[in-house]
Amino acid sequence: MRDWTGVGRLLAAAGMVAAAAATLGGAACSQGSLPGSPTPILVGGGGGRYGGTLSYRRIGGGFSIDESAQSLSMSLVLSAADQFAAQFETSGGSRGSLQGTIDGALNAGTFTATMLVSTPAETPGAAGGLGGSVFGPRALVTCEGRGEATGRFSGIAVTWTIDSIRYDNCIGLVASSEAQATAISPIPQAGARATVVLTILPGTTVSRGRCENGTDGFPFTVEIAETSGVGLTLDDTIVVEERRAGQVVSTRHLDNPLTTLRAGEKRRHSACGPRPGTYQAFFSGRDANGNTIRFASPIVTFAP
Amino acid sequence: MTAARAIGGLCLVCLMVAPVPAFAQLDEPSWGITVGFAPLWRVPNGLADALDADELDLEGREFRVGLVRGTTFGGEWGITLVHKRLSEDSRVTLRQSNDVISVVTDDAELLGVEVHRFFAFARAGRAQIGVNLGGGLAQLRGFVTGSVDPGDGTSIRAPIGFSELFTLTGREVNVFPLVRAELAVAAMIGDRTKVRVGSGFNMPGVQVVSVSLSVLLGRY
Repeated sequence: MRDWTGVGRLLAAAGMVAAAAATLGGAACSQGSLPGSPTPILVGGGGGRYGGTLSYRRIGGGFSIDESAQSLSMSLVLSAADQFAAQFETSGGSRGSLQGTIDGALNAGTFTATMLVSTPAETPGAAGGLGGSVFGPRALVTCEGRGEATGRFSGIAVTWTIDSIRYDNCIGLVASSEAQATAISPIPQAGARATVVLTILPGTTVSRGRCENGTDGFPFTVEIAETSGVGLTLDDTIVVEERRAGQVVSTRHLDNPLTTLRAGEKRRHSACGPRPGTYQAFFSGRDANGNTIRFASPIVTFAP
Repeated sequence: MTAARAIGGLCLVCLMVAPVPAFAQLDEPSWGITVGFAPLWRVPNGLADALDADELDLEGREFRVGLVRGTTFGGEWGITLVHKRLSEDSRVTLRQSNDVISVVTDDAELLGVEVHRFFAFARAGRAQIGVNLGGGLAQLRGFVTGSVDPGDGTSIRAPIGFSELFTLTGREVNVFPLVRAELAVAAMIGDRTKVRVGSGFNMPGVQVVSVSLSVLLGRY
């Protein structure tokens, strides 16, 4: 037969400790008197919110851009075991996305990612050159650029560098960029812009197999999810970049059968490439709040 | 264009509510139930231009169930729930800016409500000849698969909403109009049971034959 008296004493003691803790709670919660240090924010799981700085350096072209260090706010979502998507904006009015693959984890790993970025700039002016035109004022424009980032996750910190950002609509402008940030919350921030997370399933390295149209190739699944609660309308064309084995990168436009992505919706479609090499797709659209949204797939490798 | 549609709709309503000829008023109107089906309706390929499609091969079947009010030897009107299921190999081919998007209706249907009126204009014994006119609205439900095959081995297969098929053609269609205009023959097969066989326009297509069975309730 069990000794219930001992159990009762233990419960009574636990109750007294709890009561004492409750009594002291008011005093313990007074400002600046928390015992010990707060639990540090851990990075991992589904993603996080980061704060830090980002800077650009113009390395070509007549446009001028803000080259000072700008405060950076970024939300990052881990979309699959080795893939992530991030949205960021800076105090200088720059905003963009990172879509890439991680070698390691969010607290210890390296990554490569494609950054699609909108950067405010001033046109060279009629006379060109720095300092504006002698014939008239410069105009403010938003340059839509793209670069390949390499970076590192270490503890709660993330850093990345981009050697070359090229801007499609600001011919000649080339910039480099670097950023460093630390995790400030384990919860990605919801915003007023659509956030699209594109994931390649089962992973970014695809083996040979049978495509859905019955041919041999490299079949994979693309999952596109909107995570901010803002729907968007997709443009009718996808830009696809392929580097088939031993060849230079080729770019072409494919028609997009997907027309919309509703708020919070997750859609999947299958795709297939015919030959070994790499593949990357770029999507664009406009969200319900009128913002232009661009997002890219990670680079998919068709393994020979 | 809008005025023409409004006038057309008004005419349709007037036809439906107009009193039937005296020769059909042989018994008191009563309520009843009706079921019907069309084993095959098909969208004429000639309508491909209207959808900016290269190819249009849409067909399906239809099932209806609802209420009718009418007389055994006269006309009837009714309200029915209409379900039009598209066959799984129906196909629409759309030429877009770069490629051709081929859309196959794997799992698509129209579900709507339709009001109809059968006008009997001739009678011979227990048989009637007339026209069956109707109109209503249907919801686009289900999914289709949009495929892009540029021809070099690359392919994309995307399940998309049925209504997105219209979005791809530059149209926003959330509800689909139902219009029916059939030449029909009806026959009494009992005191209160009427079979009607019709043929004609049944938006979005044309049907060779549709069959409906109406049972009028109440006393003869």
